[in-house]
Amino acid sequence: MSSGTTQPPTGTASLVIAIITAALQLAPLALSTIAGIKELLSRDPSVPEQLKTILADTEADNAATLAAVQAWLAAHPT
Amino acid sequence: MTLYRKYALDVFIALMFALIVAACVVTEVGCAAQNPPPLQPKTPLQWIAVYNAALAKANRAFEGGVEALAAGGTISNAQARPALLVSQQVATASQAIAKALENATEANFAASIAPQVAAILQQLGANTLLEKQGITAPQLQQLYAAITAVTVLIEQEVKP
Repeated sequence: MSSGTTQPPTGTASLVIAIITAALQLAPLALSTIAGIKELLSRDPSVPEQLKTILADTEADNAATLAAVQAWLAAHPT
Repeated sequence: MTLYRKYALDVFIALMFALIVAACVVTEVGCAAQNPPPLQPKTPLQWIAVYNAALAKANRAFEGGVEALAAGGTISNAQARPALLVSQQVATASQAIAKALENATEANFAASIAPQVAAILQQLGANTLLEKQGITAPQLQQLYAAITAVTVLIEQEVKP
């Protein structure tokens, strides 16, 4: 995973992808899986530094999802 | 129809890519178990922020997948609708969690933020129950499982 004190956004993105893909393959989650994901995250020092960026990205993703759902529902009325 | 098939192919490729990456993650976890690195302490607040980011991205992919499957004719619009309503509620909940975390500090996390996040997740579970029952297409059930799994991770961090 990442190393160093300055991480590009892609470092966090790869972590997020790792979580999603692990969750995709292993549901319901076993305790060992959760521990493995936590370990991966623990090795990335960028998380505390990028907390505000992470939150901003999250809000942007959610806003895009909400807009897309609204558009689809408007285009496909019951 | 050609465009629709392209959408379906895109979804298939995305799922294959996800499985390949998942295999890489499992391999990396296995290597880490053999040579455990020194762990850096992380707080529940930080875990939740990252998990919530994953939730938003998984939900974004879920929404896009539903639309692509519906556009390609793999599922009907009637099948897509409940899935998209669930996606809408997940996005709303994730957004509320992100807003709560904006005001979070390590000092107020346990007393103030954790109960807020727990309440948001509880409400999400209640809201999505009916719509979730309408998700019958296997492709959507698999995608939804990822969202549920990430939600479980967040729940674990806010348990007293």
